[in-house]
Amino acid sequence: MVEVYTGATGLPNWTIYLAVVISGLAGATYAARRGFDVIGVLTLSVTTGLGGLLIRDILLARGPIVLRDSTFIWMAVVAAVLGFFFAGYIARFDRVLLAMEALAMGLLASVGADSALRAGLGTLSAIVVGTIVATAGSLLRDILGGDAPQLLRPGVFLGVIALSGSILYVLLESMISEPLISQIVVIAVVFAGRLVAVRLDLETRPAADLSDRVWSFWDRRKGAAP
Amino acid sequence: MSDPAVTFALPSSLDALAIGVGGISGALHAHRRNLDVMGILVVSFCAALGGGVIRDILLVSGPPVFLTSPSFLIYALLGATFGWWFANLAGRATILLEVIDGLFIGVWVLVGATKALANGLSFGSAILVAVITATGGGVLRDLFCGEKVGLLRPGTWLAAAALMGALTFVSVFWLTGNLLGAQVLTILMASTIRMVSQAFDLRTPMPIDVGTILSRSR
Repeated sequence: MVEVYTGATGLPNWTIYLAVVISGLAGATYAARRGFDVIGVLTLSVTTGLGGLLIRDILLARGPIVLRDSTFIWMAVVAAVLGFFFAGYIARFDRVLLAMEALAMGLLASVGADSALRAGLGTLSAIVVGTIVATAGSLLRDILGGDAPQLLRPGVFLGVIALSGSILYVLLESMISEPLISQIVVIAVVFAGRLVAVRLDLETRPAADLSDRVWSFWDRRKGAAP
Repeated sequence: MSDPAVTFALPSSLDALAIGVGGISGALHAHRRNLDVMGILVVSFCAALGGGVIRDILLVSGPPVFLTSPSFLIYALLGATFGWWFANLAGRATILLEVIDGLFIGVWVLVGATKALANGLSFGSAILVAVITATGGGVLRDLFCGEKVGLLRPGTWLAAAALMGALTFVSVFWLTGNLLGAQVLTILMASTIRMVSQAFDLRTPMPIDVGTILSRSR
């Protein structure tokens, strides 16, 4: 038996396998919608499902868990098969998939942040790694699919929520140091945040620019000077 | 030959400047494409730290520097925040940013080459690692913005300047074994090529098809 360190210290390992299936499904249905062939569905399912965890292990400079524990690959393949044959059904339940994706995002953010902390990295680094693990899948999917990544463009809160989830996890860990509780709290908060954002259509805006305000403040001061 | 394991440590103020400027230019790039907060953060982190991350992954030398020494993250964050809030202000100083960027191409090249040599790679590999360190961030930035990779398209000398710098470093170090001299010459070479090409709008050479030239002259 290979010793599996998935990073889900508190939660059992099946949760992270489930997260892989869900994100893989998101990749597979995207590929099916875009009219990709069987290799496209398989590739995007594997990339979206395993990309975040793979990048985590590359960043932490260790053998990728997704290769050492073959269950991960099989989970991504299951997602690809489901997406290949049932894309239509899945699209009909897109709200369910969206909710499950939110759960997976919370789990991945906490797992990423947790494994960075366990590898001895600092607070800020753990936040970055958590965010990368939670979002890299969708980023890679859009790049391979030839789209401008949805993650980076104005739209319903997505990356911001993953970022907040990682920050929350690191904060909770530094205060209570109970991985199980922190993980559940982060998953709940990310889930709720994402659903509320979708429900109320909360969108990020293009980045603001304060320089004009600074200039006008400067001009007024200059005008006030004798 | 002197010991290539002597690693070259930049003064930390230079590090801060190089990464901060990378962060600002990444944030400007994201700003021009109307990306949101996450877009600004991701793109400017890529532009500032991407090359170094790819280098550290290639060299398998532990977690990337930006994760192990969080000050790098803070510099990138400062640059990103400045570029985000003051895009117009920073946009007016593009010439200054370009000059600083040009100066630092040589620095990234020699950091990459020195690190590759210190990890026991050959000279040829050191050239590759150096060019990747200097240009990887820009490639990641373009990919993440969903654009064609600017590095591969005709334009002013950027990757070509990095390549010249890397060749200079390796040949000087191989001929004389003088690490410091090689480093200084590298910075001079890469920065001069970059800035001259910017100033006079020199374009990188395009492929020449010898076949058509021959058939035309016949």
